[in-house]
Amino acid sequence: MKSWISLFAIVAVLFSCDYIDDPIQGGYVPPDTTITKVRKVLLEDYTGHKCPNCPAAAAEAEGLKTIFGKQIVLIAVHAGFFASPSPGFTYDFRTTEGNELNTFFGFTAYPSGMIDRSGYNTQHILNFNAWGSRITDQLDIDPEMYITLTPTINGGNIDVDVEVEVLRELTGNYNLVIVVTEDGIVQPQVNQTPAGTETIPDYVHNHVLRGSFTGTWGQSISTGTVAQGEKINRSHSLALKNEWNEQNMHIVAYVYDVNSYRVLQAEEVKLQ
Amino acid sequence: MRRVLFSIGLVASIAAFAQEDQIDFGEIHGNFQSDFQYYIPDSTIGAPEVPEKFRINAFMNLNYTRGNFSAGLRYETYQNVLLGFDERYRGSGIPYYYARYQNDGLDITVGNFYEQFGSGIVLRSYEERNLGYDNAINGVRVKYSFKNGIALKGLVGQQRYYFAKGEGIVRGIDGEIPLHEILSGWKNSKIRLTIGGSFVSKFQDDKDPRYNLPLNVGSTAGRARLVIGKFNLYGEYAYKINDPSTVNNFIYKDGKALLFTASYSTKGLGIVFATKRIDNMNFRSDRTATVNDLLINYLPAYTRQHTYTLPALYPYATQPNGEVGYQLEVNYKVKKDTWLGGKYGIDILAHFSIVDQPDISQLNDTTPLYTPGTDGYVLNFWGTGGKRYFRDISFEVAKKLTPKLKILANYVNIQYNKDVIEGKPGFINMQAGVIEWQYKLKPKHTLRGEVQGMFLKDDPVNPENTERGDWLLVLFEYSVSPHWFFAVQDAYNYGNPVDYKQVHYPLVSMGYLTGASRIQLNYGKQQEGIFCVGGVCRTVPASNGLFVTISSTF
Repeated sequence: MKSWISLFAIVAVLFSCDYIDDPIQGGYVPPDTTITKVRKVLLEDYTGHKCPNCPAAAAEAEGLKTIFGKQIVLIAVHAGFFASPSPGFTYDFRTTEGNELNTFFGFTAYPSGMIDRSGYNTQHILNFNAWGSRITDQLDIDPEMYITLTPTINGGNIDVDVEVEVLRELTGNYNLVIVVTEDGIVQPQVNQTPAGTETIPDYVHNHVLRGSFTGTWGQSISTGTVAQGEKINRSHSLALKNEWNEQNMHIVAYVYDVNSYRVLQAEEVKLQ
Repeated sequence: MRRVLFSIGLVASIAAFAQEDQIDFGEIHGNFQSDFQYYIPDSTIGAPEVPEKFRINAFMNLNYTRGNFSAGLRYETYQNVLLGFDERYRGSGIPYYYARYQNDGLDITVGNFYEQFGSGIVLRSYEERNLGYDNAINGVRVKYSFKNGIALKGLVGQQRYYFAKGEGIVRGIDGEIPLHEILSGWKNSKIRLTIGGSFVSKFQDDKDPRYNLPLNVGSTAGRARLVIGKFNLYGEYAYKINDPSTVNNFIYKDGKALLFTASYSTKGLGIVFATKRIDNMNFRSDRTATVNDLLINYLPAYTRQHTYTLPALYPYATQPNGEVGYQLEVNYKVKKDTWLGGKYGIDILAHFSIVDQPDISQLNDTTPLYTPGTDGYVLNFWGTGGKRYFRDISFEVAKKLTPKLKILANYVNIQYNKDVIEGKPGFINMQAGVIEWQYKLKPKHTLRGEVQGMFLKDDPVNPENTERGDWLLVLFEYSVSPHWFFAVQDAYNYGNPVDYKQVHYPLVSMGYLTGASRIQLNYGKQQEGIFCVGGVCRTVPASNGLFVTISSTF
């Protein structure tokens, strides 16, 4: 008799099915980032102008930005097969840093992305539908650092002063990466629709990685143990390029753990 | 004397000990394979520069058996993974290991295992090394077979995800009852009827900020196989509850699948008919997984898997979001010593398969198809949507002309919706023909030749997109059985619409087989394409260089 009861118990567990009547959630209320030093998550969208599903991923990233507000920092990395220029798609969005990251992290399918580079090295590459869940996971971690950026344009250069405040005692090797991104670049983009693929001639490319102040892998800001409350200051400079539109540019900075590649904190400010 | 007696006694006792305690250490079997490729960049065919110059995929299976107990493991290494396989196969590890005990109908496995319920439409865990496909379950499985043939299975575990495990948990039970074994009146009849049922559920946590997602998604299936004499009928129906995922664009519709196959087989004649209706049956242990990752179920292609190089360039990949398909295949042997069959008879094969879009319509005027967070669409389960996914009409005739000469002719006509199958624009109308002959020069020495042609019609949707254009392929192979073969082939893309791509793809190869070991070397160029096994596919990039494969079974 007991065995029958256990069999029924097992079947009851197996038959657990969750029917959903109300698919849409109530919504996320982001904290007030002007008074609280919160965690900000880095979303790197690996994309390309010939990638049919990439506009959907970009829309997803913007949708998440609407939900999470300033707690999301976006970088669109144009790299890989779909990003290479070809007839009809002559503009080259690629950067040395983007190509290196693309190869190192092993991207082969696009669109794909990383959220704080968490899950390296087996589960860091995420389809865009998985970004939201991973962001929620990352936001559950208390902030470990806080970054303040002060950029200025000085002649033909962008100067940026960075302050990294340590919010709790940390032990490890941490690097700071500062890059520049640009919105509003109008260039053709392939797009997937239910009827098939199409080319959007005047697609607006946003958050495009344009260059780095600190190379691909950044510069060390701390090794060993760093105490809570410590403030680390750095200054960097980068030459402006003619093709960049200063009005549409952002400075993005993030600190990552050199051993695990996990990003601890990110920040973004408009250049002008 | 005493010493002599002592010595005799010692020897006798050692001999007795040795005889009584011949310890059964069990047996170890396994297999090994290593695939090596040296890459030469070639911009004319699109073969990229590979920084490592060469790459290797290798593995070894080791299986230990002793009585009712068995255990095993597989070591895999990718240094780095060959182009065309997923880059997430990186480095080395032991992703597969198990211990198993079987006795008196009971079969218990802990660790990794492969399993299939029915035809696989709710659960099929398997490995297909040529695809880089492995969704082995890591957990526990218990099977029990009653003496009357009733079989029960239960399992729980997580699926392999490259060198890690997927985060979802798969739970399943399956039962099968051979009614002809149980019902006393049926035991001596020609009717054999087996019925079965399965239930599979997956669990995955939900942290999505936008949707309330089902943590537990269940799928159930019922099946029956009826064998009456030369007829064999099989049907299976599956139902899955709401399972929003990346593949179905996070719609909350339920899923359904119906499979039916009927076959008739007698000497000289085989007929197979199959049909499928699949709706929203993508079932994975991670709702965000795509391509070939973390699939729990398997949906059959019901199309022909072509073996000749050019006809095989456009295989069908199953569409889990929905498809309606039919297949009819007839094998007929014209008897020998007849007017048509001649001295040796003729083997004839005719194949027809078609896959269309299901009949779906918008939920209402304002909600586009596949809107996330809705039911996605309204389905007319018995209808078809008009959009052609794939069609194959092919014939093959094989005949032995003389004791030394055999010939084969093959004609293939394929419609291929590239937009649906590959996600790239285009609709391809392809015709291909193959002539093959095999001539026995002397005992053990055979010369085989193939001439293949593939001809593409202009794309009616995108007339400028004539894809890769027409091809011609010639192959000669000389084999000395059972050890050696040497082959040389050239595929010529003379009809490529882009002038500089009208190039030759020469390839030479040789192989040596001895016992259970084999080595094969290929040198030359390979065109890009898609490789599928049973409707599950991977892309094959163009390559130029040396390929060496070594395999051995022990």
